[in-house]
Amino acid sequence: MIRSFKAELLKLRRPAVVYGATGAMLGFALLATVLTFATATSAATAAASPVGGTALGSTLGQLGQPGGLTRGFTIAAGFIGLLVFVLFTTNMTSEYGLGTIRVLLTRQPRRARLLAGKLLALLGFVAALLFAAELLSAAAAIALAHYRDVSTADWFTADGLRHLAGDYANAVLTATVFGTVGISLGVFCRSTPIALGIGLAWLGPLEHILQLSWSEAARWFPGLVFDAVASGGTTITTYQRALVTALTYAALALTAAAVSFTRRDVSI
Amino acid sequence: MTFLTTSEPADIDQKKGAAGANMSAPVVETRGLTKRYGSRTVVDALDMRIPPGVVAGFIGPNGAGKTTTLRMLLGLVRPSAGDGRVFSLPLHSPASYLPRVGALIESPAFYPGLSGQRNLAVQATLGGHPLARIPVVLERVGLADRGGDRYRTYSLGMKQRLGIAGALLGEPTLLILDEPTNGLDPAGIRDMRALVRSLAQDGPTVLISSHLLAEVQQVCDWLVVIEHGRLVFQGPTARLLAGGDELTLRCEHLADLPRLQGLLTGRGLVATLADDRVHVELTEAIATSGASGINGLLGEINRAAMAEQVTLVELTITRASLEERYLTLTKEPTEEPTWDSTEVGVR
Repeated sequence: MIRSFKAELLKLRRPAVVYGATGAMLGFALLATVLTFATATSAATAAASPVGGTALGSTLGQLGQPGGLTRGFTIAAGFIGLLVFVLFTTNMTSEYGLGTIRVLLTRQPRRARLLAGKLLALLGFVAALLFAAELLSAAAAIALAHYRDVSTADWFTADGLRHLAGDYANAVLTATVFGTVGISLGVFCRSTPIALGIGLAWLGPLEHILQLSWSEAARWFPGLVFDAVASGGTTITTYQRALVTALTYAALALTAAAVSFTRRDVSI
Repeated sequence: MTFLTTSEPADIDQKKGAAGANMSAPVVETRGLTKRYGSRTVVDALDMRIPPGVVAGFIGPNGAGKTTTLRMLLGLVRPSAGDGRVFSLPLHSPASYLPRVGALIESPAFYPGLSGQRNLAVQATLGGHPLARIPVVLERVGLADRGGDRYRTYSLGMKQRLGIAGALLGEPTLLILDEPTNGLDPAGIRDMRALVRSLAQDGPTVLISSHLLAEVQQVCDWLVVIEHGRLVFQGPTARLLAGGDELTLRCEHLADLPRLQGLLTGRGLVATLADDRVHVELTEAIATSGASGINGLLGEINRAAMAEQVTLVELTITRASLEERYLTLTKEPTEEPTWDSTEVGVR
């Protein structure tokens, strides 16, 4: 598994992956932070708004609280989850598309180890990118706080730093569940268009459409549950419940994928 | 269907100097190996045997089951029935023998955005091979000066060579090459042939799958022929080719032909008259007996003819090409048989 992990890290150093994933994640984090601060309004204005608040749901007062430093990053984490899903899915399906899966399996015939090493390497890569994204988001938040007259006094307290660490952990957990489901779907489908078509259609429009007719959807549908983990819980489902449900989904997907990966013929 | 099999590859023993004990432990051996996809049987009860040290050609038409068989040997595809051993280790435990196997299956598969070196580094890391092997194998396949270039910039021939470099990373004792000349131009095919020959000299057993029979004939000393997933022939290449060899004799005077025919028939040879010549079927034993055996036969015939005052003006051995023998084995029609003629003596 260690060899598989190291080999995957070597492979991830492809310019397209490094620049693409880094650019997208940092870009998302920066954009979400900028928009969070740019669209934040005073509490009075928010209350008077017909939709009950700003599009990104923050007021200047909320941004001044201990969690304000990473508010933009937290919002970005949900979107980054989808990005991670795409990254993990295409990483797996491209092995089949390029035919490199044949080479990998003749080098490492113990397939479960190969899959585990690949997943851990991808998670490590994403965790590093998320760390960079959070740092960038925090730096942008500090700069924007001065521009919007947001008090930063509570950001650098022990509570503020707990938020910083907790939001990073939630982002990593969200990436883990999105990525695990993504790589599992890649193993099942073996085709990039099919896997992404199914995955993005379900996690994107379908879940949200179904949610309109079934209020419990946010407690059970994987995409909505994963988003709840990223944002530390919602009004519909608690963080703890969302986390347990998300990890259950991830464990089931990974188990099924491991069984499929170790047993199916590779005739590509 | 003609089934020609041999269980006594003595000539390979002699050629490679292999001990008899080695022959009892083939590098690859399958028993009733079968692969079915639904109701379609792709590989049908294949009993294959590859002795150590040979360059073995695995031939058959497209769709014969060659690649599926190789995939089963490499643990990529599970057999539906039957069993096999590689290095005497069971086929269902590929992790036990694959570290000693290098393989290029179908087209070479690499990451286009990585350089040749980086691609090999991924393989070496995964296989637990030292990275110091990378420049060695790149040099071996003639890519030392292009190793730093991205794979997507390589020509097809370079991609194939990089594929072989990858297969050589672990210093394999069994090298499996599936259609290594696919898509190559004539110069690329020639280079690949030379490379395979030089690789074989390094000691590993080489198993090459191909449907280019001329290539196989030039490189391989052992053949496994399959059709519709079934074994048609396996044994030394010389043994397969021998079945079609023919000796042609012409006399100075046509009137002497019947006498010459009688003389040869009297010595136990199958001789027929046609086209003002006498044609003699060379038995497998004669054809595979080497130059000394054939020369001995020719000398004997020449002396007997002279004793009967028959003057020979032509004495030619015509060897069947692998293509011809293959088509005979698989009973496919051929309009214009191809023959490689080797004139061995004229008096």
